[in-house]
This record gives sequence, C-alpha cells and structure tokens, in this order.
Amino acid sequence: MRTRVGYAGGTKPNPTYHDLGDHSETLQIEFDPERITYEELLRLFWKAHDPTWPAQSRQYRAALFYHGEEQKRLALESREREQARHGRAIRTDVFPFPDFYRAEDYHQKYYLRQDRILMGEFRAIYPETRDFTDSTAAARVNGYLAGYGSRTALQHDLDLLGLSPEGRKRLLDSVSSR
Amino acid sequence: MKTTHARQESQADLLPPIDRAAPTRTETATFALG
Repeated sequence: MRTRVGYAGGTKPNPTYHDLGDHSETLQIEFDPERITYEELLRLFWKAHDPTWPAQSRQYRAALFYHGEEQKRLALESREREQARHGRAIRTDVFPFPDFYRAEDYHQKYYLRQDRILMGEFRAIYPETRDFTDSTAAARVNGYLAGYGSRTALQHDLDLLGLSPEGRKRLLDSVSSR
Repeated sequence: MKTTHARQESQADLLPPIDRAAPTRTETATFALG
C-alpha cells in the first residue's frame, strides 16, 4: 500500500497549501486489492470521521472520490448504510474522482519527518522525495509514529522496514512508550 | 546488459523488503477526511 496526501475536488489548477482555491485536503491510497479491498477501506473511512458533522470549510470537508463504476456503487451503498445507522443527514458527499495534486513535500509522511534519525535512514535509501513518499515502508513507519498499530504488529513488521538496528530500536521504543 | 542488470539488482537490495515486492495489480482510492 502506498499513500500520499494532496489536494482534490476543486477547479483551481496547481493548488498549493497557501493557495488552495476550492480544493480539499485529501488522502490518496494505492492498494493491492488482493491484500485489502475497497470495501475495507470504506469501512475505515467512515470510522475515521463523523459524517453527520457539517464541513467547517471547503479545505477540511469530508468526501469520497470514486475511481470507476464499481467504486461508485460501493461508495454510494456504504453511504446509504451510514445514513441508516445514524438516522440523520449524512454530510459526507460522494463525487467522481477529479484531478489530484500532490501536497508539498513537507506534508508527506509528516510524523516520520519529525524523527531526525529515522528520516535520515529513509533519506539514505530514497534520495528522491517522490520515491520516499511512495514507499510502503515509509507509510508504515509514519503510521506507527503517528500512534497507530500495536507493538505486536510492529514486531511482525520490523524485518520488512529496512531499518538499521538503531532505527529498529528507536521505532520499537516509540511504540512501547505509549 | 549484464552490468546494468547487476546494478539494478544491487539497488533493489537496498530497498526495504516490503518495498521490493510490488503487487501485480493496484487500485487507487481517494478520500477527504475533513
């Protein structure tokens, strides 16, 4: 799975964080459907926000951008289920996928960037920022540093992340201390 | 060609194991989370 943050859903060409126009802050996920399905991602999406809250701004609204007819069907069905579950108006809208603009580098893998040691290790592996952003290992380490995932899950992942002994210890310590 | 191939292999060896196994097919999902 690869992740990146960016801007979507508006009309302004080439938006930036400080000149966003009518776009919204957006997460894009590239996934292997044999490992995780779109339905599972939808379940996480609905769980991750309160869809009955009105958006405070266009920048921070909740929305689903579907890619293709199958995702459209699944997205609309999931929205109907949420509607029935909440018994109130759902404010999260479903739209066809528009253009996606990657956010500036300093927004990508934000939590990992705050750790000088671990970030140094990834910089050595991926000198190009785009390759770093698209790294599954970087996404996973970023998630652990952000507070997601258990110590048991990390122990299972540890050999897959390409970290030095020092980096491994540092990541384990950060997960153990919470 | 052999040299190029060997170089590609050694670069790939530097990658985290989880990044070496590229899936044969991927899909994209896009969400705004408020």
